[in-house]
Amino acid sequence: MTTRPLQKAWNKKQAIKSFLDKFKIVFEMKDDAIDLREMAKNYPNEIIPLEEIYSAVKTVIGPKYDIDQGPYDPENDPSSPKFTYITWEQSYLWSIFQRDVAPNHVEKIYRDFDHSAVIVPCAVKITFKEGKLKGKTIYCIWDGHHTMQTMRAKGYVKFPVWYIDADAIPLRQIEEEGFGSSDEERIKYAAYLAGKNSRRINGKNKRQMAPYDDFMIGIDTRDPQYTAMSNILNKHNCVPKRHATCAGAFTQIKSGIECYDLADMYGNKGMYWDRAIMFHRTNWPGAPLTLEIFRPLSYLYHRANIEGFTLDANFDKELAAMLINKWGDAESIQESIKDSYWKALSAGTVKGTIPDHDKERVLNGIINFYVQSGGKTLLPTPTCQWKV
Amino acid sequence: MNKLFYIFNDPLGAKDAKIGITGHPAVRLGVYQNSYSRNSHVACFNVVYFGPAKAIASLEKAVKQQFDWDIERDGRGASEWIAGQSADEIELKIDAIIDGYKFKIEKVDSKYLPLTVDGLEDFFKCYSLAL
Repeated sequence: MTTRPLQKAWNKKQAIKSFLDKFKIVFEMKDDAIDLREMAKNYPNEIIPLEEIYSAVKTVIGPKYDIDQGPYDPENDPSSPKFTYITWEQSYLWSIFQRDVAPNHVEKIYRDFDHSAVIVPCAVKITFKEGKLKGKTIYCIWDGHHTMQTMRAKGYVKFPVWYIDADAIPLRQIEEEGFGSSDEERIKYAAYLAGKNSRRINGKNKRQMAPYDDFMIGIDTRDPQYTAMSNILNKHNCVPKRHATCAGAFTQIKSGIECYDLADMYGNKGMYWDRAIMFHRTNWPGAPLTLEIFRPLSYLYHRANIEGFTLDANFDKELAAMLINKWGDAESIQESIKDSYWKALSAGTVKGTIPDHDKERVLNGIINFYVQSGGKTLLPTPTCQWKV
Repeated sequence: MNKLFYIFNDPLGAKDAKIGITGHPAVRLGVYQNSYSRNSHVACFNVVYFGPAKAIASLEKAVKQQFDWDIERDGRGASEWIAGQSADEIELKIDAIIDGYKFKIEKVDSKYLPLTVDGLEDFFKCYSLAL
């Protein structure tokens, strides 16, 4: 009897591992992010050819999608977008496929405007073939309208647009989509196209910038606050990461900024967050940073300072010993404190102001726990009390 | 509620080891025993840790992160096999992880190891465990 050889099933991890074999510096390749900062270290000047990134993307997606298609040359396809500059007089808007205009958003862009940072608005070009507007060509904006208004305010005399030429789209294609050949029908088709694209771009396929990416770009482009935060993280051997995959990984960017922003009476920022991170790293050196440890501690140090309490280094040691002895790791500590709060709340034994956020629950929980465990240092009064 | 974190060597001789967690070691050992006769090999855990379910789950996550590239495949039946390392080698690294995270997790004394279904009763009694 002959045995049929086993066909190896595709395995994502194996595919990624084998892809990474050719790199000196290994980097994370996950569905939601390929770490391009690390990947770039494998290339001269840390600049990566897009084809290399494409190979990485294909590796992660795997064989379930056939994403190699073509060849397709958009330059010679009449229905693909083209670039041009238009005048203000040629610029129009169809309210059926654009959002309402928000003056405060125009103002926001205006205040932060830079000529080198204009994203090209998108439009549909139509030439009227009949009626009063016969022969007139207009461009209807379907994305970037706020940018257009801001450029107008900045005195632009020409406006860059990336446009679909509805005049050049073959009639057959328009009819296949269920529209007719009259001006009215072509306009309806252009509106349909613009509306569909507007929803695609602004809704379905929009990928918001993650706080991690914003933070890393801020550091790389020398934003003063992010640089200061980065210095604090470096001091404690911490590293900003998208996922909490290593010791000292800092993933809760927005909350980190919130903690960094806690200032003393002279407006100095960062010191409470710095100390909270030191507390974390000293006591759980192998763990990623746990938000509900560094955040409540930042607030505790801040409140103590503002209210005139002295929390010295011995306090940190005493509190850490109590927490570790009771629960051990940082995640268990914050989860157990929250559990005790919810149990006390359902038993009706929470006294004081009911907190509406985890940071207050854990902050109060830490204060209550410290006092109940016989802590020697005087702390700010908790805003709510329960048996932790 | 307590749970166990276990490591066992490949019974067929590869220098690979499997990690896992369970709240029902008798059932889990029975599942492994299903794959081969007791006359060939008695299913066992070579290294065992125990502690609160939350801490054990966090330990498992941390271990999988640390051994990420040593776990060569993902998917059912593959994602817990650490390639090229024995249970003893992995144990040392897990001890370091537990220390770095300060997990409230205890290691089972070597006299109960390797832990088999036959040794479970004594093990439970000694550690006053209710899994």
